[in-house]
Amino acid sequence: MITRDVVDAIIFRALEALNAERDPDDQIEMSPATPLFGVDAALDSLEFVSIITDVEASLNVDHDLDVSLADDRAMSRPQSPYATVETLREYILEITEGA
Amino acid sequence: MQDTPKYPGTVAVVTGARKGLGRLIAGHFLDEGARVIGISRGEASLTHASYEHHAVDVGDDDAVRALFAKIARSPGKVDIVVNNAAVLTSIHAMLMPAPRAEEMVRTNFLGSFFVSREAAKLMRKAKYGRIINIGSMAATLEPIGDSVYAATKVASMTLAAVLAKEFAGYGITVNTVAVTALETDMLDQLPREKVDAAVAGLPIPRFATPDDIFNVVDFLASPRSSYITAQTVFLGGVHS
Repeated sequence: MITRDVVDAIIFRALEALNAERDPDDQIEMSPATPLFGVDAALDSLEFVSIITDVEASLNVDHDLDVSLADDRAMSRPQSPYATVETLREYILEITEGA
Repeated sequence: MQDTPKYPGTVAVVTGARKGLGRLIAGHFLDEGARVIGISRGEASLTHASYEHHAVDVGDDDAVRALFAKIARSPGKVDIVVNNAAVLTSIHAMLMPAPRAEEMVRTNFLGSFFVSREAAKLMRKAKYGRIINIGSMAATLEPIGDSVYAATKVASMTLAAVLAKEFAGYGITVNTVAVTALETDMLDQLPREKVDAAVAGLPIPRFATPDDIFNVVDFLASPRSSYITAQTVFLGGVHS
């Protein structure tokens, strides 16, 4: 079973990949509270796509977890699981529980 | 095979690879040095050291996702996708059974979307990809009996245009080659006189050959075609 620290590391690694392409004075903060989606998002729409697909790919390739982070379950929640790093991490832990 | 193959080191996914045009295109890529991943609902009809086949319904989103999860692990990349899988029921609209209509929408349209979406996730990392949809002259000729089939082909062209915009930043092009009648088993589902009449009405009134289609596929699949996207190339003089 995948742990909280591992999921955090996966998400932060994806954010680091985005930072590598950003200006030094425009870096995304590495924090559980970093907003990923919504009006306060630290990412633009393409960066958001990158984060979701990078995290999915890492869960698949590195941890053999074939999950979709953009399925009906995620889309239909009253509170978006993509809101912050923390909410995304908790969503991943939830859908991979027992896997 | 030519002296200098066109696709060494290239991984190409071809849907509907078991028969008809898909099998021809898969064979062409193999002849030109590509590694080919073929997809169809049935078992493989090709045997080649560089060919692997997956019996997957492209209209089944979960199955497509699971397949590309495997591809992500090995070979870990996709350079070219040819969305060829299609089904055709030709019958007057008033007689079209709903399951046949739904099957055409699911395979011809949603299948292209599911495969393109998953392939683009892999292509994104390499910032390179070529997605080629196999369209049809039915999209513009609008033959009687082909209401749903023709509509799925038009929808696929629109899909390609939007995906071209969404994927452009990742170096992925999305184009369509709209083929005329080719002697494949799909033609057996149409009255021969109807096909002959359609071909006779073309500006170039003959059946397409496989090489006519390979020529355009090679053009759209070329690394040199990086500035060509959201386009539909009609064969035989058909135009929109």
